[in-house]
Amino acid sequence: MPNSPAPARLRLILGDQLNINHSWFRTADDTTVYAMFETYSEATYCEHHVQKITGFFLAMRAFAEQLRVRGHRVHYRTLDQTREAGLNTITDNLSDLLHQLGGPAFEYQLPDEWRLDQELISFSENIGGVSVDSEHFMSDRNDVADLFAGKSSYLMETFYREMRRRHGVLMDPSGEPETGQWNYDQENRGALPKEISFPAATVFDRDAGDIVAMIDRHGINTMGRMQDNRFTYPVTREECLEALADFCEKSPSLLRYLPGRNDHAPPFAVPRQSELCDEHQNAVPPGGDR
Amino acid sequence: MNTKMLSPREVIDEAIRAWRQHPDAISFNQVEGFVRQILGWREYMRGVYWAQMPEFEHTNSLQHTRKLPGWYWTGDTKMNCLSHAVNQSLDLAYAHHIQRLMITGNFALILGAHPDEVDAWYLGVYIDAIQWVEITNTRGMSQRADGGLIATKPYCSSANYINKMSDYCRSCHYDPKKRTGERACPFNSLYWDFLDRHRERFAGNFRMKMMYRAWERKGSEEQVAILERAAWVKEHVEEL
Ligand SMILES: Cc1cc2nc3c(=O)[nH]c(=O)nc-3n(C[C@H](O)[C@H](O)[C@H](O)COP(=O)(O)OP(=O)(O)OC[C@H]3O[C@@H](n4cnc5c(N)ncnc54)[C@H](O)[C@@H]3O)c2cc1C
Ligand code: SF4
Repeated sequence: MPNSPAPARLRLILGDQLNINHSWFRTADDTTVYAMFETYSEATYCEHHVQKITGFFLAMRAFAEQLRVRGHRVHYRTLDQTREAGLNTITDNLSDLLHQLGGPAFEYQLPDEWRLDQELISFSENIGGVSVDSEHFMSDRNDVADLFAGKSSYLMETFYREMRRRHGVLMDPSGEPETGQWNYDQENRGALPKEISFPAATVFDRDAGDIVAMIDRHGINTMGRMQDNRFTYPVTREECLEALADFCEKSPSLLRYLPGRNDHAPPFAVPRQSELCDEHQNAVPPGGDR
Repeated sequence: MNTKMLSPREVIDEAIRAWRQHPDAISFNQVEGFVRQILGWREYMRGVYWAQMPEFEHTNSLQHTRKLPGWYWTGDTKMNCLSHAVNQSLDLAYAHHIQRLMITGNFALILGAHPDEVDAWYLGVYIDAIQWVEITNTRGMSQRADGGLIATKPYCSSANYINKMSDYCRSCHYDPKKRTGERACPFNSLYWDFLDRHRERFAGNFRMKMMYRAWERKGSEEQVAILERAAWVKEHVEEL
């Protein structure tokens, strides 16, 4: 980056931290460099579905692009680049990049995975790094532990009611549930109507041949299939929002029957959803302890 | 949401807005059920993860040891429900909750598959699989490796449930009504075998009393025949 000032800080963005509304991104500042890495370690910590790796890489690339468009400095390394450099983990890449940039301050968002959390804690300790919240969840990491301290079973319902109150979701002004009742399990146990059709999911069709070739090139084992290397889940926030709007727009009748259903949901072939964002464009029946 | 491109708050708000706009088309219990999954289950599972890791990763309270059959990676089985759930998962990297819990998860549980095996499959196969939400659902809710921290009873079922809830059984190689014999649905013998194996742990569970009573009523002759069929099924699990 020839014309850029020396970076004062390096901020790491992990593949599941694509939150453009994070306070980090409020203002663009050319002394901050954002780092994103496609690494061998992340692609191989288990045998992933080929669409899972593809989806993450595509979404990460799109996110990096979006940051650039907004005027942020981004240092992005593809799997080809990290492999070429022999840097197989996130922290290998961080060490290398921090060195290359002349040792700026290091910041990261708290990861949602224990393994990476440990890796980053010990890495960061050595260099005085700072962690911040990922500003996504509606509860803190330790809320469940605190709520059920000393208990041998954790009752979801207890936690859920606490969350409804805390966030004022579907609550009336006096602090009671909006319709006076917390739990609709009984109502949600009805049978599905015989003739029910599922609207088609919003599909975002793109060629993923290059990513698949890259995955193969580095000998990464995958499971599952991807027809004609066409990737069809949303990979940008705009696409996710479109799918979410579609779901809420087109599916009121579906919402009516499906979400919240208990044990009595059909394991029929259900149309696909847009899962990378999880926004249930075809609400499928949850089940289990609901 | 799991990549954080969407926030849980906005997804909940959108659904509530849709309900307020179309109160005739969407009922309150439906929107409540939806909110419950996100504000309840999703946040709760994350909290369980941080409360229980790293020990959670090594739990195996039912001491299961079997391998997951190879057809979890190919979809090649004559069991129609499993063939659909597995093939769909391999094609789309997605399956809905009931497929995960009551088809693939249920089969792995009553077969007695090692939770490490089951975990590896679920962590790999779904596009939404990130460990905090995968492992809590898999080892906790589905495989009950956590000793009952999350769920009050194990999610095990026979073909009866699957037959009632779907139309898979109608075109299956196996007979959902049979417990023994060559064409007997494997879910049936494995289900009773599972209950029998873990009698000590579950017989006292209030929510499982009925099942154990039904098992007792079968009498020892039928019990032996069912357990023999289960032994055969486990032995030949790759060929089912
Ligand atoms: C064995 C097993 C493994 C699972 N692995 C995963 C996983 O790796 N990743 C994952 O996101 N979910 C997992 N789940 C939970 C659930 O099956 C999926 O979240 C659900 O299938 C997603 O479909 P949906 O968007 O239609 O959900 P809906 O039923 O419409 O629910 C709406 C949203 O609520 C959240 N949600 C619903 N149920 C759960 C739950 N039990 N735990 C946490 N969040 C929930 C999801 O974000 C979901 O998108 C697993 C369940 C089981 C039984
Ligand atoms: S008969 Fe058994 S294996 Fe076949 S679809 Fe029904 S439950 Fe599944």
